[in-house]
Amino acid sequence: MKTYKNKTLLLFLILTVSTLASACQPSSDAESTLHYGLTLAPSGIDPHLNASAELGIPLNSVYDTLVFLDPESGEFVPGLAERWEISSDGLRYTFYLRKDVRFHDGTPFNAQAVQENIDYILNPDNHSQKAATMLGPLNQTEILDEHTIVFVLDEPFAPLLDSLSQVYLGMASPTALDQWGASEYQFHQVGTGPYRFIEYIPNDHITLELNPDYAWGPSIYDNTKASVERIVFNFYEDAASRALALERREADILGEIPPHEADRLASSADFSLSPVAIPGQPLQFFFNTTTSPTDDLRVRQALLLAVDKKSVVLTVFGSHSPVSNSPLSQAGYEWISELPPSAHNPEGARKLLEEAGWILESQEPYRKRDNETLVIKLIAPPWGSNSEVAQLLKAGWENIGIDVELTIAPGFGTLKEVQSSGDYHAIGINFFGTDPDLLRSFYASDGFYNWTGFSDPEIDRMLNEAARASLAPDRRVELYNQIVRAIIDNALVLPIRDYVNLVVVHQGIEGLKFSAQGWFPNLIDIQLPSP
Amino acid sequence: MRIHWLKILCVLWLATMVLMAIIAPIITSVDPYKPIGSPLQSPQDHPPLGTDALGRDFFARVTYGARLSLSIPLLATLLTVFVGTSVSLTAIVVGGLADRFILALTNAALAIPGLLLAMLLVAGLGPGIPTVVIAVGLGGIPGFVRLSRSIFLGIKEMGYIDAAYALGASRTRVALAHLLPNAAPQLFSLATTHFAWAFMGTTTLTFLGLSGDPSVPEWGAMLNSGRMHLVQAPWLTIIPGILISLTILTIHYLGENYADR
Repeated sequence: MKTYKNKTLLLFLILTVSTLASACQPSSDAESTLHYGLTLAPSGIDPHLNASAELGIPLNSVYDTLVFLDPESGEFVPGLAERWEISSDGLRYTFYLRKDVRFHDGTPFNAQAVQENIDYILNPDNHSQKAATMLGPLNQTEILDEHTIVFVLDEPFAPLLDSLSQVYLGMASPTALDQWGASEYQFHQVGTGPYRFIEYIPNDHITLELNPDYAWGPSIYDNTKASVERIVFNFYEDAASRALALERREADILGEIPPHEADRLASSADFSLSPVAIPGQPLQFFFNTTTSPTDDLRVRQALLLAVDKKSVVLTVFGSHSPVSNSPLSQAGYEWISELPPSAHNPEGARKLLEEAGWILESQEPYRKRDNETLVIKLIAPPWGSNSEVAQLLKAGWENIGIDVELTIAPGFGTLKEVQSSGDYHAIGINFFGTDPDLLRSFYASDGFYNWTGFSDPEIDRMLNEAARASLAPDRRVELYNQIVRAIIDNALVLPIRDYVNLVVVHQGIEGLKFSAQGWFPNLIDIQLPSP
Repeated sequence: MRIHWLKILCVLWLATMVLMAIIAPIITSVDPYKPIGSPLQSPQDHPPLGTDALGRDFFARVTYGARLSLSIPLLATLLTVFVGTSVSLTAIVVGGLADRFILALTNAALAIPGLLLAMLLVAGLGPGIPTVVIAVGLGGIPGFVRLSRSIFLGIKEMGYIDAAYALGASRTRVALAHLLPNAAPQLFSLATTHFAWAFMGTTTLTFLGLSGDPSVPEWGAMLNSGRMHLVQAPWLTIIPGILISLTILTIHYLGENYADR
C-alpha cells in the first residue's frame, strides 16, 4: 500500500513538473527563436555521408567550407582557406588555412582536421552517398605544415573548388568524428559555423543555437555574427500542410509552397514571398533512345513540338517559373548563349510522325505503323509537381494521336527500377548543382544517370575535356555551349521549367538570403523584428 | 406495410451512381482528360462544378470517375467472393486436417489487417489499376473465408445434409447442390457488406496515389489531388468526399438490412 502511495506521489510530481516545464516554454520562445520549416525528412543528416539537399538548410550554417561560392560574382572567395594555389598541371591544390578558427567543441582547426575529414568521407566503410563522389579523382591529401594542406589529384578535375564550397564537404571537428563514428555522428555534429548544432530528433526537429565565438565568416555573409539566438527546424512533408503552418504561425519561414498557395499568402500583408531560383537542371523528361519509337529522332522532335510548355508552366507553376529550353537552368548558367525558344507546333509534330511512318487512320484513336500502335510509356517521379506536368504532357501527346501510358513512380527506388528495366520512353529526373560537370553523369555514354541511353563519342570527348579544363574557364564555357547544343539537336530531353523554390516568410523577418546553390539560407544574416 | 424511406433513398442513390457510370458520355460531352480552360475555376465561373488544378472539367471527371470507383471494388469483391467461397466450401466438405489447416492459415492472415495486406501487395506488384483490383481482392479473402466458413458450418449441421450423404451423394454434390444454394442469401449479404469494405479499400489505395496514372478520373485520387487546394477550391475535395462516404454508407446499410430481414 505504501509503495502505491509513493507511486501516486511520484506521478503527481512528474505531472506537476512537466506542466510547469511546458508552461515555461513560451518564455524561452520569446528570446529570439526562429521556426524554420523543412519540407522533407531526410533519411540521415550527416552531410559527409548523406545526400539530401534538405540537410543543407540547417547544416550550411553549422559548417564552414574551405572556399565559398559568391552567388553574385560567381567567383570563389576565401572561407576556412585564406588563399589557395593550383599547380599548372591542375593536379595539386594547395590550401593555406586560417589560423584563428576553433570548432564548437574547442578543437583547433588545422591541416590535420582537414585531412581527417577527407579520410572520414573516403573511408569505404562509411558509404558516403555524395561527398565522396564530389571529390572526383582525389588521390590523397598532404600536410605541408600545421596550416597548409595539398589535395593531390590523379587527373585534373575542374569541379573541385565547387565541391569544396558545399556543405557536403564542410569541415567537421575531428574530435567529434572520432568520438561518435559514422553511425552516431549525425546526432552530435560539430562544425565551425555561425550556428552550433544542439539536437536532431528524426522526423521531428533539428535545433541550432548561435555560436558566440564566430569571427571568421566569409565575405558572402552580410553580418559578422548571427543575431537570432535559436533556430528550430520542423518538418512539413505534406505540401498541403505548409501554408496552414505559416498561417498558424507554427513556422516563420517555409519553402516549397505550392504555387497557388504562395500567391494567396503573398497577397496578404502578413507574408512576403521570395522565389529562389535553384541552379542545376530544369524539371525535365529524358527520352529513351534505345527503344522504339523514341529511338527515332523524328518521334522525339514530334514529342517536343506537341507540348505547349508555356501553358503547362502557367497551369502548374503559375507565374513564378521561367519556361526552360535548355538542359541547364538559366540561374547559375548565364553564360550559356541564347538558345532557340521551344516552339509549340502540333501540326509540325503530326507531320514528323507521318514521316516516321506513324499514320492516323480515320476512326482510329491512335497512330499505327504496320499494325503496331504508337505507345509512349511516360514515367514520372512523385515529387515537385512532376505528376501534374506529366498529366498535361499526356494530354498534349494524346492530342497528336499517341497512346500515352502514364505511371507515377511512388519513390526514387521504383523510378530507378523502371529505368533499369528499360521499359520506358520518357522518364523524369533532375538534379541541382552549380558546376556544369553535372551534365556528365547524364549525357556521357557511361554516365550513372545516362537514362537516355544515348552514346556519342563527340559528346563524351567534350564532357571529359571540359571536366579536366581546371585552368581554362573560357574553354569550359565554349565546350559546354557546344554540349548543350548537341543535346538539343539530338532531342534527348524535354526541359519544362527552371526550378524556383517558393519561400514564404512572415512579415518583419529580414535578411533572408540564399547561398549560390539556391537551397541553403545564410542563417547568419536573418533578423527577427524587434519586439 | 411500413415504407422504408431510408432504404428507398439508399437504393436510389446507388442506382444513380451506377447509372452515372454507365451513361457518363451521355451526361457530359466534355473529355475528362483534356484541359479546357484555366485551372481552379469556381463552379460559378465554369458550371456546373468548375475546373480542377490542371484546368479539366471537374463535372466530367466526377461523372467518369464513377466508372473506375465502382468497377474496381466490384471486380475485387468478385475475386474475393469467388476465391473465398471456394476455399471455405472446400474446407467444410473435406473437413479434418484440411479444414484445420485452412483455418490456421486464415487466422494467421487475419493478424494482418486486410488493408495493410493490400498495401503490401501493391508495394510488391507496383502501382496501377489492375494491381489495386488484385490487392483489394486478395486482401479481403482471409476475412471472407472466416465468415463464409461459419455460414457453411451452420448449414452443414442441418439434417438434410446428413440425409444427402445417407442417400449416397458425393462431397462435390453436397457442396454444390446443397451447401452453396442454401448459403446463397447469407453469402450475398456478406458480399454486399464486403463490397463496402472493398470500396473503402480501393479509395484508400487510390487516395495514396497507388493507382499509377493520376490523369485517370477516380474519386479517391481526386480527393487526394484536391486536398492541395483545400482553401481556394474546397469543392475539389468536398464533392469526391461526399460521393465516397455516401456510397459506402448506402452499400453498408443495404447489406446489413438484407442480412437482418
